[in-house]
Amino acid sequence: MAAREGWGSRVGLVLAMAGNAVGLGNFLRFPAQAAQNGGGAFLIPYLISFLLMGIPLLWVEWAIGRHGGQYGHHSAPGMLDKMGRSPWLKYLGVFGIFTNITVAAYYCYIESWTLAYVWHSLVGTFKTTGPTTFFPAYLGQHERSLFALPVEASFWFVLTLFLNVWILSRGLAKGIEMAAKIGMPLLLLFAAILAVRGLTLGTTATGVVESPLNGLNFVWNPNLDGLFSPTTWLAAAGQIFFTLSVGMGSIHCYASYVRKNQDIALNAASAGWMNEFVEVVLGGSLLIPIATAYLGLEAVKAATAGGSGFGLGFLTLPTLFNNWGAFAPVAGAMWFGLLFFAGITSSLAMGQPIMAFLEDEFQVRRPRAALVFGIATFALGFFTVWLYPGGAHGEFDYWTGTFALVVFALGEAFIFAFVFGMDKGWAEITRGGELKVPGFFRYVIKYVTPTFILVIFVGSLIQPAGEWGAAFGSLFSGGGWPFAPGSVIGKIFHVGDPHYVWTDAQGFRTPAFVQDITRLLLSAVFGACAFLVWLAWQRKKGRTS
Amino acid sequence: MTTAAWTMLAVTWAIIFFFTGKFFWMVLTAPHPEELDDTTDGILRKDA
Repeated sequence: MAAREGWGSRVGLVLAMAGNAVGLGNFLRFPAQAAQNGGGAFLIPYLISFLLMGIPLLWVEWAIGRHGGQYGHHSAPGMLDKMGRSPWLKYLGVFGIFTNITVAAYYCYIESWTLAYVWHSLVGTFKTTGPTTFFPAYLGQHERSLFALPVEASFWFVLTLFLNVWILSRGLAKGIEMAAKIGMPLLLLFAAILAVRGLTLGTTATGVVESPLNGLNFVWNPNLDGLFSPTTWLAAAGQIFFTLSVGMGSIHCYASYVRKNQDIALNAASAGWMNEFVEVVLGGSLLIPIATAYLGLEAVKAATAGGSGFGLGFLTLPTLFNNWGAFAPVAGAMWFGLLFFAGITSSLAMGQPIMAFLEDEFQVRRPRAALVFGIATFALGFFTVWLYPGGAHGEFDYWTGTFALVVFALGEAFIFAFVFGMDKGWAEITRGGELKVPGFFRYVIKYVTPTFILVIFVGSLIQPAGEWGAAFGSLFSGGGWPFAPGSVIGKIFHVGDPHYVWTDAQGFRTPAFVQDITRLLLSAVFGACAFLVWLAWQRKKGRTS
Repeated sequence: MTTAAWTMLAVTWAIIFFFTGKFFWMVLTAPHPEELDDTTDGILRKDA
């Protein structure tokens, strides 16, 4: 048997786990979500969700991972197979393969944009070309076209994939851990420098129209009405869920390399809180205050109305940095550099479970497994590159980066509490613990955490257009439930697209066509992952009989 | 910045600084993995 892989150091493990959790959403999504959902009041349901759902789910995933690792399984199907006697448990683990490969496909594309933007910031592209002109051209977008073949974006995408494959092929300690040890401190440094520079901008500085503290006030001023809105609570719980990278199978995978009697309670808590530090302290102090200083608060409110700071981050900030004179290229490189480090430490965590599955269940050697991951990501990723204007990227993000995570987390939370059993589960979480986990978490993990995830799941399924109260009013008055176009049911039935056709009157393909073929592709990928799991267990049977 | 905003920021940052700092310090100062009394190779049973 080949020597078992392991982490080189405990700090490396915690940084890699924190790097897995820290992603682009910490800097682009959190501040917009907070500002649009009650400001400072958003932090109350946010922190409650962190304590009652986030941290417990981290402990559950670390425990499932370390438990599976003891049986030589480092990916979700094998780990879940060991949680009980049913042969069907391993098929829930298919999500742990499917989500990682499909999220990596579109996530690496976004990651490649940040790398390209580092380059263009350093060479001064944004001094002469506005990002609102640069970005569509970079993506190869043309009016009315659903397809794109962007040469430069493809180059950066391939380069990003190559970097990921190269790091993954170097192994756990020399690859992933090394990347986290370099990337995370640099991310913190860049973010701290930009936050201090941004927050100390005086109102007399070049281009400044408003104090950046007005932006900080927008993020933090508590609107207590939000506390009584289900929308705010769902938004806060959803943000906690997605920021911690739970429900993917990547935390399980990293934890599976921890030895039987080594701590997971403290490690999980440390990685989780580190993510909160990056998100709340640094993420909340960058994008909106800097944008407010140069654009004014009203423009920032409009730009973040959808709950995302993506447009501000990629389309606006590069131009605003031009006001920083000689520091502008460095500031741009720092901003996109920190986004790149946030991205790559997450995409590496998506690659490792795929490689572990191939290594454990099909005896594929590490360099070849890394190559297979790269080729699969390339093939699926280019589907989103070519059909980005048609909405393929958004479909990937919704079904694999959002919906599938909630389904997997819901399933694993119930299996951990009720199939594996809380007695064994609690013993697994606390064994070797260097942090005494308060006893009430035993009941939180059994009842509260699954309920939290169930509420998020049902909320995403039937999310109404408008306020929940008005939706119930409509239901009880016989007007039916007004599904939001962004709800799961709304998406499936193309609510909000009354003229649902694949080809329009002029003979052009419609976005609905792209949405449907993307869903077919994702279904086929899920089926292929399930087949591989079935095949792996058939081979095991064949070897033992 | 309103007083309410400063208060929310200060309280939230204090909580996050405290727990992030405390737990990471505990990780940094804990015994190195090699020093732990772990006599197993970490693998109970490999599915053949």
